[in-house]
Amino acid sequence: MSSILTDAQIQRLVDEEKVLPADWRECMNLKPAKDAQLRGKLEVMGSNGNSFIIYLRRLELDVFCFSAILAYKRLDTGTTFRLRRYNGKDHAHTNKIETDEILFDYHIHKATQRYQDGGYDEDQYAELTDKYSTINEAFGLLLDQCGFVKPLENGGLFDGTEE
Amino acid sequence: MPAKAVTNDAIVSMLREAVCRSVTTFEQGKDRYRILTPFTFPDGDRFCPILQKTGPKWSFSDDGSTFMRMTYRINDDSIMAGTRGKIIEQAIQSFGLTNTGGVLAITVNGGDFGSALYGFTQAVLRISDVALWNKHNPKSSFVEEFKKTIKDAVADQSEYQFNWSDKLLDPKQVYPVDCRISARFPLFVFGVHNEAKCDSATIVIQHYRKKIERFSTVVIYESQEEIGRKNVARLTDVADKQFASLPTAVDLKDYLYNSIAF
Repeated sequence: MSSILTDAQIQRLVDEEKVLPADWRECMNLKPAKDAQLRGKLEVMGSNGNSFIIYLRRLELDVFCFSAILAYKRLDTGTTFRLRRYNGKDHAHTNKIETDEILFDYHIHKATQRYQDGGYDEDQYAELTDKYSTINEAFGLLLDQCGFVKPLENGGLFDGTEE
Repeated sequence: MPAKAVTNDAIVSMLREAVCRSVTTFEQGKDRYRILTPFTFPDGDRFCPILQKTGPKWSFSDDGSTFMRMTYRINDDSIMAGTRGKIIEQAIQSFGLTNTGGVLAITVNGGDFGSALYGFTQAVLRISDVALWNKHNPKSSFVEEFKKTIKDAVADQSEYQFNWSDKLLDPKQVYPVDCRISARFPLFVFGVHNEAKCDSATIVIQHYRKKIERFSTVVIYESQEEIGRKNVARLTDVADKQFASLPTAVDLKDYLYNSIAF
């Protein structure tokens, strides 16, 4: 695999089935971190053996400044590659190639081959969205759009039993 | 008909208008404005600081977004480590910013909003660029900081050797140790910046466990949380001491003197 991921490779990674662990909701309880941030993190293996990480970030001072990120751990370069980034509306965004702007509105960054070819960040391209307005909703949309499967619930041996 | 020549005065006037148009303010409450600037981060997001009044003073603030943005690329433990940290501190000091728990700000002095905004912008972009080191050369910054930390912690150059291998037990240098420090029993230090290095450090330690009777091992991760849990678990089984990110030279020195018995 070359260092640039093609659109087809990116789409396969986004679509790869990723079964969430039983405690997946834990990461939504954002914890205070250094530098005025609240954070959550979740690692998930894909059905093809690829490794993914979801990062959740929100500023303590600004509920509109957040990111829900799906990253892919690259074995060839030892780095993480951001496939999708669901951003808040605290800032404006400019798509450098298309030269269009998103002014203080929710937007989803998507990794593309053309931006990598142009020497830009892999996920510099972004699209306007009205499908979320909080970080939890953004996280939910990320799960819906990126091949995540919730684990079977009420199927465990001890589900519903009282201690 | 020949094109009408544009006078220098007209060019200067157009430049001024363009610069003025490029900065826009959006009111976000009492004495609070979001500023839209033309400056962009590497991901295409625009730098949009807050202008707010606290008591009698106006200031520009990032609310903490600069450091949050940097954590998209690098672990927060390594943001302020080594050379990165020095450049960030320099930018904060030289442009007169404050860093309050990760929130960067600059006070507007003497009503000079323009200078404060430009200085704040310049500092934030310089700080943000530090995160790009990870993209362009993920390893070199860590290696440089790893070596410097050991050199600072172990003052006597004759006591450590980088890229060491045992000439008798490993003549082909198949099992290199990132740094061997002389002590009552030798200390092997490994720098781990990715999963492949994590696995090779595990193998090297296991190899020497069979060959050498007494030695200690220290593992220093660039960012442990970026390494897979299983890789870390295997290395944890064989390593004596681990630092989740680069320690300060003082912390490493403390460990060496208190635990290793130089």
